[in-house]
Amino acid sequence: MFKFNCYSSDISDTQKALNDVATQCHPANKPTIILVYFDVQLNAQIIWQWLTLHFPATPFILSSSCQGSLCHNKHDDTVFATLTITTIEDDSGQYHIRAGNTQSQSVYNMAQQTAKHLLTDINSEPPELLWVTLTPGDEEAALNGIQDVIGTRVPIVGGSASDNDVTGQWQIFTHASSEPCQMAIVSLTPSVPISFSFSSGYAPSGRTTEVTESSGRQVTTLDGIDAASQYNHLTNGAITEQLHGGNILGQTSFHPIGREVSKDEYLLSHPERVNDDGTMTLFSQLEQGDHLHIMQGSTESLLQRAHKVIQSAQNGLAEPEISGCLLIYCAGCMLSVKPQFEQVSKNIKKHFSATPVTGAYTFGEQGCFLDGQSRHGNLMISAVVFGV
Amino acid sequence: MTINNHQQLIEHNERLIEKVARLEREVDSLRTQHAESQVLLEGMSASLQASTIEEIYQSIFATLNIQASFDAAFLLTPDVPGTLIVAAASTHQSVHQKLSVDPLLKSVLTGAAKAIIDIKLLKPTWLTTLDATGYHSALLASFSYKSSVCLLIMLSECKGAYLRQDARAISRITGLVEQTLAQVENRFIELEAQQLRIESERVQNNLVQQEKMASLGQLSAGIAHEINNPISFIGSNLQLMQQQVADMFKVQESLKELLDPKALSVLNNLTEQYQCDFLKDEFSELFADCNLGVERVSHIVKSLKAYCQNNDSNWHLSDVCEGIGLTLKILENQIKNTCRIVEEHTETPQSYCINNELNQVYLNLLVNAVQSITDNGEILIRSYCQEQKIVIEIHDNGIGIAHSQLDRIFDPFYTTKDVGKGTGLGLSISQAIVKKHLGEITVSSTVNQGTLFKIVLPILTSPPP
Repeated sequence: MFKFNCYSSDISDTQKALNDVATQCHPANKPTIILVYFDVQLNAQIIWQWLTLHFPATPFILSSSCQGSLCHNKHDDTVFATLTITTIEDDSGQYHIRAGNTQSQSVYNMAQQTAKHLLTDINSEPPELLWVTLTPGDEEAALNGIQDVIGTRVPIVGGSASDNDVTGQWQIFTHASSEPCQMAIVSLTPSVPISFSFSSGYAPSGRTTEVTESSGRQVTTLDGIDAASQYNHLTNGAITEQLHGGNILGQTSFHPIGREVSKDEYLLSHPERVNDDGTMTLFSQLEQGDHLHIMQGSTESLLQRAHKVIQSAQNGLAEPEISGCLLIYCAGCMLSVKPQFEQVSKNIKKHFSATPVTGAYTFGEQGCFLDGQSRHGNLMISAVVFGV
Repeated sequence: MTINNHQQLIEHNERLIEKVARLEREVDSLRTQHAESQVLLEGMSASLQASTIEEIYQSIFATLNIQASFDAAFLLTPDVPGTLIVAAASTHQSVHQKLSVDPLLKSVLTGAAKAIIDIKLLKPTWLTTLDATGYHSALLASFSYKSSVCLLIMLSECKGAYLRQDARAISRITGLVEQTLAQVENRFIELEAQQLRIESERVQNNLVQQEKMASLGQLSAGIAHEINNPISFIGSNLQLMQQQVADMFKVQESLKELLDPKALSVLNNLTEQYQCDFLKDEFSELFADCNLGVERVSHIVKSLKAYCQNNDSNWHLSDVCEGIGLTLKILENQIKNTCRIVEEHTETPQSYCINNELNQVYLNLLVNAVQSITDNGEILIRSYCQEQKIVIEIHDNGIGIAHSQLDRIFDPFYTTKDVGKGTGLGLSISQAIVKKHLGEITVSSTVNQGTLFKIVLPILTSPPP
């Protein structure tokens, strides 16, 4: 019997928040796996100890989420919960978690090693889906490392851990250790059907450009011109004040860069900073020769998008009824529309009133497009729905 | 662009994407159905066209490859308990190799199909047995065939080439494979039954033929006996008559010396009137012909009696080649307008044999030789002694036997003759008889040039045990 439940608290004191959640949990609840998102203002160590004490035999992931997390269930609608605990009960399903630490090795090698351990745990049988929680920075390398071990056909969905102010306080833990890790991979093979969707709330503006020089996540020139200047020109001066350097996350949230990965599907990159030399740093890699679209979005489109991505995932199920949903929502998008973000919860409640939905706000999103390829992007939304 | 326009654009874009997603899913579903239908059609087609089970397997591999692409595939059937044997392979490698049933294979044989991301990680010993250590992904499924559970292993060089949905799809396909193989099996059973019916008819025909031959033998023996008496008194009487007629002509000659001229003239006139001189010569020829005829009838009767004594299945020390002459006598009428017989015999020592059975061998070989000759042929019959063995060769210059048929001509019921004209038992019986005499019979033939049957018999100084 598959059961998906989520419980949350908006209390800022860690122990009180845990007590608050404990009162909501059904005493008979014996989860097979637990996913926890927390605001970094809470003490992760206390949460970890509480989890290991109350669910000693249950594997879990504990990850920070930017300024809280979303929790929707029959009794509760919270968009900025300090703590959200999601439990999945599924005796007939198979769930495994593996944590990865760099330990002076590259992200690629760490991902490879972690995936190899996980593959051993699952006797090399393909899961329905891999749910990943990565640290921001080199998610492409992490995905490559995983796919080098398991191939490219297993869908990979997830998000990068985040903090409240992009100061690097993000944290990831698993049941395996009270020390934070660099990445966690969950293999999901539930006993119920599963479906997913990966999308954004942006549309192409019609203005395009081409990467003429880049290195990793740093773009030197666009169309042969300094990247910042050309981007500023194409966005009608969105970053004029930062052309000589500075953080541009807020200014670029409604003008991300998009690459068309399949027809009408765009993988977005969020410009993060203008460097002193006029180059731009993004939250994902671009390659020389990439054809880019300047995308455009609006508050309304971002507020409307979450429940539509869930609906899109739901369309992938043979039967429309769903037991629960895991949602990854870009923290950049959330911050851009934060004052109106309650609307996201209302839209979810309107369309999925009885369905538990857990949402994390992340600094990078991973998901699988219609072409079957899993990718890392920014300003994206991923949804995984569990059928009945 | 206004905010409203922008919003409309986004909404439009979203609708498009979702439409594409729905269509993609429908296309995927249709593709799956199409692939499965194709497998079924291919399987059915294979069952109708294939003449061997190996062809069926290759056809199944080809159609499975459409559903889930593989670099190598193996079909295994149960061997002794705890092992499987490779019945077929897509690349013809490792066929007949035996695999121990490990826990992984056991779980597939007793449960659901399984996809494996990297089979090397599990280090199964059978990967080496199959000479398949270069592959990563595996898709394993079981299916029923001939009341036993068989295994299908598909391998890919890529990691993670197969997902759970592929395992589910292949399970559906194996259901179709089961149905196809069941139909093929039915077809083979029907063919086998048909073959058995034909063989049964041949056996029945042969029994009838043998009955006829036995009856004919008894009849011939009876006729021979019945003919023997009259022909002997015809022969005796002929000799008596010949003597008496000669005496009469002597009387006539004596009278010519004793009679007076008048009476002699009357005698001469009568002699001339009744052409007595001509009759004298004519009688001589008539008696010679009659004697020859009687002699030939006696000889034929003697041969028939010798040939038809079926109950004489005892071993005798005799000339094993003696029967050749007798057989040629029997076949004389069949041979005389068809071909020329050339005989080259050197003296061979006597050996223990069952003459009657060897006669049957000579008869079978000579009948075949005669039937193979279409126009003015020649049959060379040789017998000689070589390396303490008696060799009999029957060499015709007829149409010959195709190389592909040579291996089978001693098989029971195998015949190249038209239906109803041969039982397919002659040469197998001949071979059995020769083997009974501890010898061997071989054949060599060139199409359109002729055929040589060679019988090599040991010189037996006593009946074989």
